[in-house]
Amino acid sequence: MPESSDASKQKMLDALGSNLPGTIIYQLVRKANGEKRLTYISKNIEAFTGASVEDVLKRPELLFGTALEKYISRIAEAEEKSFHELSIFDIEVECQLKNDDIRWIHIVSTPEKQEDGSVIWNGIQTDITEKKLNELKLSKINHELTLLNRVNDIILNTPDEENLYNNVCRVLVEEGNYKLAWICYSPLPDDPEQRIKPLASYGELGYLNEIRIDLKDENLRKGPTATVLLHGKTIVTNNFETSAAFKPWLEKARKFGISASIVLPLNLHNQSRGTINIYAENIDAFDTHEVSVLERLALNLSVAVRNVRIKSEKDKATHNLNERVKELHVIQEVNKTLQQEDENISTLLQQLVQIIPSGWQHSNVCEARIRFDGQIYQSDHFCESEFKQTAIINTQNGKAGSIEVVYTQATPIEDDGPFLIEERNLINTLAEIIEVYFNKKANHEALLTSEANMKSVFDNTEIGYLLLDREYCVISFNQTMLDEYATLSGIKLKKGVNFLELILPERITYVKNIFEKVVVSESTVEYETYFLVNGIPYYFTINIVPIKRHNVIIGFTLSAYDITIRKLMEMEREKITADLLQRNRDLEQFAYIVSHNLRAPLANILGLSLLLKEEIPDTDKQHALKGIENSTIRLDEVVRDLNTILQVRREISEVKIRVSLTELVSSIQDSIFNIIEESKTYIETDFSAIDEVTTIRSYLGSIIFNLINNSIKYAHPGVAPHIRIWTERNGSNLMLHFKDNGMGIDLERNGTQLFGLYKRFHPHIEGKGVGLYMVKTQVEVLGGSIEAKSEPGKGTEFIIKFTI
Amino acid sequence: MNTYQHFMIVDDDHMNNFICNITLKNTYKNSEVTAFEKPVEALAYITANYPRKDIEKTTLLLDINMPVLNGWEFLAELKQMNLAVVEQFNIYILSSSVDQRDMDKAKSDPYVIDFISKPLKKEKLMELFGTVK
Repeated sequence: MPESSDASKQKMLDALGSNLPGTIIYQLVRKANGEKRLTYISKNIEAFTGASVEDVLKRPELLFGTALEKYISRIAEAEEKSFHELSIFDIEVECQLKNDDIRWIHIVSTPEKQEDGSVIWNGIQTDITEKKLNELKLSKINHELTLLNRVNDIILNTPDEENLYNNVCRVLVEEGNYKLAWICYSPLPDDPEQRIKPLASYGELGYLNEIRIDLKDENLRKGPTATVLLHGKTIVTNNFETSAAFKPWLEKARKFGISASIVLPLNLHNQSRGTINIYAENIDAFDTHEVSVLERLALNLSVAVRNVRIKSEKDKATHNLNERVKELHVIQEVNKTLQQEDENISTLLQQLVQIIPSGWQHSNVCEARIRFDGQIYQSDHFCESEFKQTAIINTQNGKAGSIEVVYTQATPIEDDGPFLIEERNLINTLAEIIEVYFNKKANHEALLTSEANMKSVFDNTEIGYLLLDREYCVISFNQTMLDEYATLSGIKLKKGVNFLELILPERITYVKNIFEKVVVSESTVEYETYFLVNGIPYYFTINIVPIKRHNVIIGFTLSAYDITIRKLMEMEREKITADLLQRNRDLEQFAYIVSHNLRAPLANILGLSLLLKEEIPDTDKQHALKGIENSTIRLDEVVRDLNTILQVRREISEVKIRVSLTELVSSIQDSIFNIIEESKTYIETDFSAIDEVTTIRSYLGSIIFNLINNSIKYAHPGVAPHIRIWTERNGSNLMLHFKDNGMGIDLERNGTQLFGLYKRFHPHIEGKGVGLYMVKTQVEVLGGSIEAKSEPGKGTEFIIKFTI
Repeated sequence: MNTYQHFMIVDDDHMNNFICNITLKNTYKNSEVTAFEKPVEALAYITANYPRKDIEKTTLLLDINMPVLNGWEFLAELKQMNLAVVEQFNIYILSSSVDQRDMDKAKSDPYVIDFISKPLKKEKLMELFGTVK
């Protein structure tokens, strides 16, 4: 290379190198023997190294001399590689400048092989500190975020607390490049030791094994872990050497090469707290950003643990719930089994041992056995086992036994050996159910006996009972009700049928009203009723009693008591009373007759006799004598009437016979032929409905005669009497009608006296007032009744009613 | 004219009326006797002729037991008439009855002066109305 061109090149290079800020240009030659020489270096080297251009040119090693020691070997290696392979020399190093600043320098140079075997590097050194720092920062942030992500992954994928902690510690050490990570909880308040024990840890465990944190110790509770447990705030100790609080553990930290730590709180639910403790090899390992990332990590972990705990509680609750459901199911099944009425005890108990195991947590290895009353019942694969629960069965009638439940294999330990505390309750409950069943069965049998007794009492009582529900549906009835009341009243009693639908149609309204009365009054209603069976009456007293529960009517009891005999006696008594009253009335009437009808002619005879003593004209004397005669005759008639009347009332001696009305009326007409002829009476008869009657012939004859005679006597003057006599059937009664076209009578005025003895209503017509009295008396003696319909001027109709 | 000298008899028994007529006339020579066998006719007569100015009082002898209208019914009809008419009668029940109830009923009626048991006798008349003037 010519000198002049060299010099001009030198100038150009200097101008270029000096004017490139933060950049050094150089040319380095290495000979095959390894000797190195700088052929060019730009002026800026002074700012980089503090050495002058001349010095550096003389001592080429100064070119990289400011690089930190850790880069020296890497620079050498890179140079070797570039020398031999002619690859681009490219390295980034940290250099300590003369002002002690550490700068990142990027060195790039291109090797050029010379013929003599030497290599020339034309290189450039650039200060990339700003870029490098940014890069590093980014990389660190990236790394931290990756760590956070990894932890989040773990959180998401680790279902249980213990594994979660172990994995987090492992990731922190392996991927977070920390020395040690461990997790602990606050000791429980009732723990007498109050020492902190790691739950999970990873990394330099030697340190952890040798240190002690004790909340009861004055000094050992001032360290970062204890403080965070107490106050719940992150503590960063970036240099143990300068931390007073860390002093008790400093020596151990040195021993295991630990310089800094961060202790982060884990705020778990239920106020409990833990810490995650992370240790770094270097001081100042935890800068602000890293702290915030780790705090984030701790927070996520807290939430995760809370969720895990909630989930595990939920799972546990679900499991417990499932267990309870299984237990309840078994209880239900056992109850259901015991409700089968037709099975015998052996079958039932054998069914129970098959059902019982399904209620236990580990039902697949569960078997059951019941001993009862000397018998043994067991499930299919029952075998003796040390894992056994037993409950005793004691029944009221002294029969005893037990239920045994076994696990044929070992299972996790629970509250009651291998069994849950609820399973202890379950087996006891089952024993109780079985006890109750046998007690109930014994009671039920006793009850059946007593019910049978009651039923026989009930069925043999004289009173018929019928139980109805609120809708009148037949629930139950006793035999008496069925045999007597129901049969006689024509009701076809049947359980489950609406009673109102069973009643005879003509009685429904009546009975319904009575039930309504019971409902409204909420009290018993009593009434009497009767039924005719083949014409014979049967009388009943009916009581309808409301059945109430909680003040609401839920049904009715209907009781029917046959009072026929009582009723007949009552009627007999009433008849006797009526007879007595009639006799009494007769006597009174007799007294009246004596006082008026008997005494009237007597008084006349007396008066006329006295007149005869007086001085009176002959004509009057004759008149008086005639009067005495007439009065005497009248007196005689009254005495005869009385005799007749009294005879009628006497006991009937004559026998009842079949009498044809046609024949009877005809014979009467014959006997009074003269009167009929004289009065031009026309008698019309119609006995087509009923002609024959069983009666006392003379009485019925007398009745008809008197009525015909009455009609003729009280005929309209100048109008020929027309009498119609006919019969009519009215149920079980014979109605004998007697109708004339005579004067009639004002019944409103005289109705009550029409049939009275010696009652006369037509003064112009001869009569003693005996005829209708006799008619009535004789009708009554024959067991009938008579009534009259009449209006003055419109004729009279007599209606006689006889029971056939 | 004395009160007891004018008599009215209401009785369906004409034999009684015959006895009364003779007994009254024998006892009180100048007495006037009007007899009715039908109470309705008696009422009609009273309605037509009473109150009478020619006599002061009429003594009414009334039977109880009569068809159509008995003595009590007759009395009830009579009481319906003008007070002047009613007051012109001295009313006596004349009956064959020996029934105490009839006597009590007669005596409890304010318009009935007394109960006379048949037959009507001179002694009884004199006891009630005094001797002949």
